[in-house]
Amino acid sequence: MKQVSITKLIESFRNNRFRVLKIKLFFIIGAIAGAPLLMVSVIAYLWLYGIAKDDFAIRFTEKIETTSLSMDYYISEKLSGLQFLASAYSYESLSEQKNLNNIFHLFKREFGELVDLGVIDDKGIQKVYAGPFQLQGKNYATHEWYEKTIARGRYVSDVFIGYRNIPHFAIAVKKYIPSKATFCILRATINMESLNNRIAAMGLKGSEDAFLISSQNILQTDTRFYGKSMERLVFDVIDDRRSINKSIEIREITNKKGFIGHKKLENVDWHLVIVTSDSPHDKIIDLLRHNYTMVYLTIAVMVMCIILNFNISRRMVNWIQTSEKNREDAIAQSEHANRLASIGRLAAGVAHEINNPLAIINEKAGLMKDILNISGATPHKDKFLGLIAAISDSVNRCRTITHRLLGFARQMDINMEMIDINSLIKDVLQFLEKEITYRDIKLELILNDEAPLIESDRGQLQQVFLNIINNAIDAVQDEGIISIKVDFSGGDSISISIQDNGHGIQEDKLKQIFEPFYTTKEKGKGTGLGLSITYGIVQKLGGDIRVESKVGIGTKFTVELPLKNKNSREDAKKYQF
Amino acid sequence: MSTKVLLVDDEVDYVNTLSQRLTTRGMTVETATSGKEAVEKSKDTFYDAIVLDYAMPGLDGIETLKKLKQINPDIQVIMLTGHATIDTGVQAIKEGAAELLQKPVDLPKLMEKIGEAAAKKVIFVERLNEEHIQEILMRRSW
Repeated sequence: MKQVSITKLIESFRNNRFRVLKIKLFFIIGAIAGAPLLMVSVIAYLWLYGIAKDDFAIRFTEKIETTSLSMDYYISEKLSGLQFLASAYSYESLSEQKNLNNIFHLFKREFGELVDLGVIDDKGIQKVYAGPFQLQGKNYATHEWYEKTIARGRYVSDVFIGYRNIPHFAIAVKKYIPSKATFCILRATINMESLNNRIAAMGLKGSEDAFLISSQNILQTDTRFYGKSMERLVFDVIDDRRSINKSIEIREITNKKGFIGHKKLENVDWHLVIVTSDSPHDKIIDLLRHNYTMVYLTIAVMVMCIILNFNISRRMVNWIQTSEKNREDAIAQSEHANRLASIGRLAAGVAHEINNPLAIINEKAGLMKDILNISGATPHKDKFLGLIAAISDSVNRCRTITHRLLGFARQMDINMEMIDINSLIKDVLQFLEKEITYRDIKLELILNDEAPLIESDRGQLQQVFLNIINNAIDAVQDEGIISIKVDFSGGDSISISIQDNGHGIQEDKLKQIFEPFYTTKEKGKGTGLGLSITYGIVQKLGGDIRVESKVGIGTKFTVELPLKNKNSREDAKKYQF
Repeated sequence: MSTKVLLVDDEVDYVNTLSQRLTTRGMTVETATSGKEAVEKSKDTFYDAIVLDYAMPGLDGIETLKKLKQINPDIQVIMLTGHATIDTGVQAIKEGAAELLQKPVDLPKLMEKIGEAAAKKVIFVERLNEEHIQEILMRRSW
């Protein structure tokens, strides 16, 4: 019971070991197969990412370019209009309230989005005003835009609240009045809302945000994500060094996915900023999303790889498991065989040694019997004779035992060697020659010089042919014919047939002749073991034995022997026990 | 004339006992306890049969058999063995042994074989004589 549980324990341990091995193998093979695949994927991704990034940058730049152009156009259009007014009309006609109202309406019709129009004198006082608010007489002398306009001649202000409490910006143009040797400023305002609309009209995507900021980083328009107009932008967009040149600058947002790009506008200190949370990566995802075939193919290949890998690792482990088991079995077998063989040799040695004293006992007992027989009537003569008979019987029993032991030992060792079948048969015949001659049996021996050497066991083969030929001799009448023929017609086996013209075997008994203890010989003449032993030996040597027989005509035994022993040495031993 | 037999075995007890039994059955028996002794004895006498043990110290059965056959190719030798294999049998037959018997041997069987051997020897001797006579006849110049 204990042993069984230990065996089970070992078995379960072994199974567990192989399960672990299987899992390990699965992952190792997976890693080996997956690593290059992963590398290729990474390289392909990086490559694709590079392309997508370039593409993305071009598109993004284009977008900034066109948007900024449109904004530039929008501002400069207003500025030019105002400039035109300043040049086309005299100060006097502009100073007329009626005239200015007319000009304002015309101007608004042509350029739109204008809130009001005013003329401011060199003291900063708004002289004339056309528009919805009451701003006539307001003093702008301290306003930044006023000073800048005087300094620059034309100016577009940042968005501010001013007197009207609505975010707006001013466009102002300085006009010289040569007759008075002074100047005045023509000013128009536009609501910030117009800028918002303008940006909204560009058709931004949901992931994009576009807005204008001043050079002080103050938002000029409302944004989607970064605050309202006139608030300070939470991050710095404009790098002072770079904003000097008017080119477009694009950079990745450092701690957030996406890109930011900006460009300075022409006539105003504003930058157009576009922020997008798109990235080239999204582009690739997008590309894949629209290319289902590739995705399916990849998934299919992956699934196939996994299945294949699973199969391979399972097969490999099974193979290892089987071969390990086979090896262990073989070792166990050969150990068993070796043990039996040494027991056999020991037994043979003992039997051999015992035979000599046994022979002496036999002869002494025989001599005693002889003496008693000669000496006529002696007391207890019958009793002594009985005792001697008992001794003889026991000696006979011992003899049987020792012979059996020797026979067993002979069967134990299989010694493969290269054998010439012709000479082997001749050897066996030499042994039987006397009986053949004595009974006047005619022997036809057809040997085959072409027959190659075969790998087999000499002693066992001698036993086989001795048994069969002996049977043939027993089967034929005196002066019968026994024909022995060695056949080799290429191939990997050699066949030897032994044919006699004896009494034959009945068809229904033919099937039984290789069974143990089956004999047709008269009682006491045969053990019924000869042919079954023969059959066993031939099988063991990897050959085959067939019998054909017809009652009254004779019997033919055919022994087929392989040129090379198919069974390994271990196997040969295995069949033995 | 009784059959003349030489028993060869290193077991003195065995040789003596067997010799007594054969003598009782009307044979003339001589013994030798080694191969060497057997060879020496057969140089002087032409035995009807020699019963020779296979396994002996010194000169073993097969060697002794060879020597005996050298001295007289027609000598009839019955080999006894405690350990018979087909190989030993074939070897013995090849070297010219008349018979191979397994120890312990059945006495009637041994007697039968000795008888057969002696009969064969007679044939040989007769043939030898015939050859002899013919030779002599041939040599005569008439």
